[in-house]
Amino acid sequence: MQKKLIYLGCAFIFIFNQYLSAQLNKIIDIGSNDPDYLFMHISGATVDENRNIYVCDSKGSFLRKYDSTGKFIKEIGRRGEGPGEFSNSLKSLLIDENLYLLDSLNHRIVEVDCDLNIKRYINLKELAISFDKMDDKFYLVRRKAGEPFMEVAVYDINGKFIMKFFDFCPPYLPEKPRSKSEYATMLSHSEIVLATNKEKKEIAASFARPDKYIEVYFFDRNGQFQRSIRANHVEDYHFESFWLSFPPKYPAQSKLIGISTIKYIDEQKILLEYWVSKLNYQQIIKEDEYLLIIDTKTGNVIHKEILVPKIRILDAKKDLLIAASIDEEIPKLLLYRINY
Amino acid sequence: MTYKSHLFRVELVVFILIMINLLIFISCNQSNKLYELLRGLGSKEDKIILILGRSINSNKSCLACQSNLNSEQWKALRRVLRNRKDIEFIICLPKGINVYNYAEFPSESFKAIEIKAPSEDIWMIFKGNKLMGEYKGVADMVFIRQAFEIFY
Repeated sequence: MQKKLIYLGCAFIFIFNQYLSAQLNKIIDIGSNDPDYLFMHISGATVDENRNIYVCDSKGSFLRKYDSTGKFIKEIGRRGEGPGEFSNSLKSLLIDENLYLLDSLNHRIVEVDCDLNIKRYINLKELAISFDKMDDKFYLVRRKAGEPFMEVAVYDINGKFIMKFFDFCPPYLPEKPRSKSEYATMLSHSEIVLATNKEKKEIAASFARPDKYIEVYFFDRNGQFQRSIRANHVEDYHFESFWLSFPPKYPAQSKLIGISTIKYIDEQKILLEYWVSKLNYQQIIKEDEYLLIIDTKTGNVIHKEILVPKIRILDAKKDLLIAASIDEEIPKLLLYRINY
Repeated sequence: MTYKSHLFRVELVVFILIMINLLIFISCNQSNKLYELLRGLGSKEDKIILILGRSINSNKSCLACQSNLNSEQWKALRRVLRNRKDIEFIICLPKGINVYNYAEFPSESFKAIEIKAPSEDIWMIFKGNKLMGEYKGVADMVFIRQAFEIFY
C-alpha cells in the first residue's frame, strides 16, 4: 500500500512538472550598449515572413529593423510631432503587407513599408490605448465617452470611423461611479485586451482584471458578439472590492490577477500573458507571471508555464513568441520558439 | 461713464499688458542666463560634462532629477557612455535643490543662483573644455547617437 502511494506520488509530481515544464526555447536576443542595439523601452515588435525583426521603442521614439540573425539594418524616428517623428507613446506594432504603428499621443497610425519608409499617416480623432488590424479595418481600444469603461472603435484603412462595439463591463464594477475617485479606479480596472485572427475573421477580447474566471468574448469582424468562453484561474480567485476604494483599504492578505496580453497562436488557441500578485497589506510579497494557452472552443487551459525570467509578450506567431525582457539591466528583445 | 474713468481703464489695461510683457522678457532672459552659466561652467571644468536642466514650475524643483534620473533615456545615456571614465555628469538644478543630487554638484555657484529653468531640457556636451554638441528637448535616440559619436 505504502509503495503504491509512493509510486502514485512520483507519478503526480512527474505529471505536474510536465504540465509546468518550459516550452519556450530562446533563439535570439537583441540588446546591448551599442547604439544600434540599445533600447530604452521596447513597446512593440513583430517579424515578417523572412523573419526580419521590427522593433519600436516608446522612450527612444524610434522604429528599427534587424535581419533574421539579429543584425541591425535600419532605424527611423525621433521625438516630435512632425513627419518622421514619434511621440513617447508608441504602442503596438503590427505587420500586414506593411507595418502599422500606433503613435497614441500624436493621434495617428503610421504606415511604414518593410524597408522602413513612411508611406502615410492615418490620423485619429482620439486617444487609443491599443489597436489591432484585420483586413481593411483597424480595431482600437478606447475609453467610452464620459464613462469609466472601455470599448472598441472600428476604423477603416483611411482612418474613417465606422462603428464601435463591446458593451460588457467587469461584473464587480457598479453601473455608475459613486464618486470621482471611484471613477478613476473603475477606469483602471475596466481595461480590455484585444486580439484578431485573420483566418477565422474573429476578434477576441478579455478584461485585463478578471473576476472568478478568465472570460474571453468573441466577435465577428463587424463587431457582432458571437460567444464567450470561461477559463479557470491558476488558483482560486475573485476580485476583491477593496480595490475600488481610493486609496484601497488593504487587508492583511490579498491578491490581484491581471491579463497583460492576448494573442492568437492559431485558430484554435489563444495565448495569455497572465500575472498573479500576492500582497501583505500593500506590500507585494510574490509576483508570478504565466503564459497560458487556452482552447478557443472549450476554454480549457492547454498549457501553463511560469515565465522565468519575467518577460513582456509583444507578439506571437504560430511557432514564435516575441517578447521584451523585464528587470534586466540591459533591455533586450527576445525571440522564442514555441511548441504547444 | 465719464471720459476720465474710461481713460483710467485704458491706462490700467495698458499697464497690465506692459507688466505681462516685462515678466515674459525677464523669464526668457533668465533662461538665457542659465544657458550661459551652464556653458561657462562646462568650459571651465576640465572633464567632460553633460548637463541636463528642466524645472517643474509648480514646485520649483528639477524634473530631471526628481523623476527623470531613473528614466529609460537617462539610463540609456549612461549605459552608452559607461566605459568612459573621463565623463562626469552634472545635473542642473536651478531652484529647489533636492538632497539626493546635492552631492553631485561640483560648483557652488549653482547654490546661489535662483533663476527660472528653461522650458525644455538643454543637453550640452563638453569635451576638452569645448562645447562639442548641444541638444534641446527630451533625449531620444538621435541625441544618444550624437553623444556616442562625440565620445567614441
